[in-house]
Amino acid sequence: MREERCEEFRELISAFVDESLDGGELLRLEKHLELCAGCRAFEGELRRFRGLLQAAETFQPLRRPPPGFAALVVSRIDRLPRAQVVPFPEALTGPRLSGSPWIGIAAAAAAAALFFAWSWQRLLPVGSPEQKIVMSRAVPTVDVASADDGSMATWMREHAMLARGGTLLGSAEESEFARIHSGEVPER
Amino acid sequence: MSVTNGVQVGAGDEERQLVDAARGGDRRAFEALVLKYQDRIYRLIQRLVSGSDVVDDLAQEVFIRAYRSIGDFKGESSLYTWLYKIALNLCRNHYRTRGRRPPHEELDEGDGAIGVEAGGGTPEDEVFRREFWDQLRLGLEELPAEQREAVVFCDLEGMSYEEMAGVIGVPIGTVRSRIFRGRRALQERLAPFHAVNAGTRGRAT
Repeated sequence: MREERCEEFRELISAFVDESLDGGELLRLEKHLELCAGCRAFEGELRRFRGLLQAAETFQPLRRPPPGFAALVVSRIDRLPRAQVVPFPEALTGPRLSGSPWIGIAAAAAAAALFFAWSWQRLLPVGSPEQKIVMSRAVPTVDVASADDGSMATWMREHAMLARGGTLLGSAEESEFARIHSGEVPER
Repeated sequence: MSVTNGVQVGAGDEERQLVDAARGGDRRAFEALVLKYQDRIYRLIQRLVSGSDVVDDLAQEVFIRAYRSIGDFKGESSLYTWLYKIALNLCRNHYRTRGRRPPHEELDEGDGAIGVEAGGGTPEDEVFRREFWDQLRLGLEELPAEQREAVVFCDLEGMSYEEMAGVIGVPIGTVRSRIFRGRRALQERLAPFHAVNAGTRGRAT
């Protein structure tokens, strides 16, 4: 019975040694530690183990990047295709357009592509598969670099779903884009 | 915000200027950011994956992805947190596509070793260190990915629970639970070494 109760405190002890416990949990644990020699021993073992882990890398030093690593990265970047990925809404509204010639060019290319798609979809029969796919291009983007596979999969599923349903016909971005390119408002 | 590696990682004015310049396509500015974070990213990757043959490629890929997406970096988190997320995702993908490595693979020591040298001692000390290191690497390899990441970030990278929650993208309670379970599994695997470290050397061999 007591062991079962102590088991409840072990995770708290792990957070306690990381100084990541506060409030009621901290008070509860401190009270338990005063009374329980077993949990105090567990805390001591965990602290020693943690120290051993932290010391471990002094046993087998890690490697450093080779000389010229940063220059190598930049040289690989120089060989990348010039087009950059620009999230759709920010291509029209973001403050970055003013500072970057390449992003500006990419944004202009994206805008042109979208305008083409927008014009094209107007020529297509309403509800046609082609039109639905075109309109799905206005789905807000995800941060591809830092998104994990799960987020990307979700985004792809949503993207496909919207493409099938064609529900973005009246989105704000589409409207703004259309107004800009019809000359109603100046481009920002 | 800082970590135990002793590097101050707050997003200062200089860093913001470099990020802005890199967004504008300034390769020199981006190179300066790579120079600032390359050691930490390199270390993190070595801690998360086994096999020195992939560390270079993964580290380069982290920064190339960062460059391509730097327009998406909003500055809401620190740059290193954002880079860590990219590195973490690449390491996860590496594990998925590569599958689990055969056991007993050792890291190359390489020419550019850093860290405190073993510091002499007896041949037995050296054997102990090597054995412990090998078992630690194997133990980390065998942990479920989410526990391995939690232990690496907490015990080797010295990150706070809040930082980890931001990088891994889970609540703090989940971080806490993963650390606990990962440590417990490692503790069991390394119990003989733990006993040795506690002053009873000789029982582990």
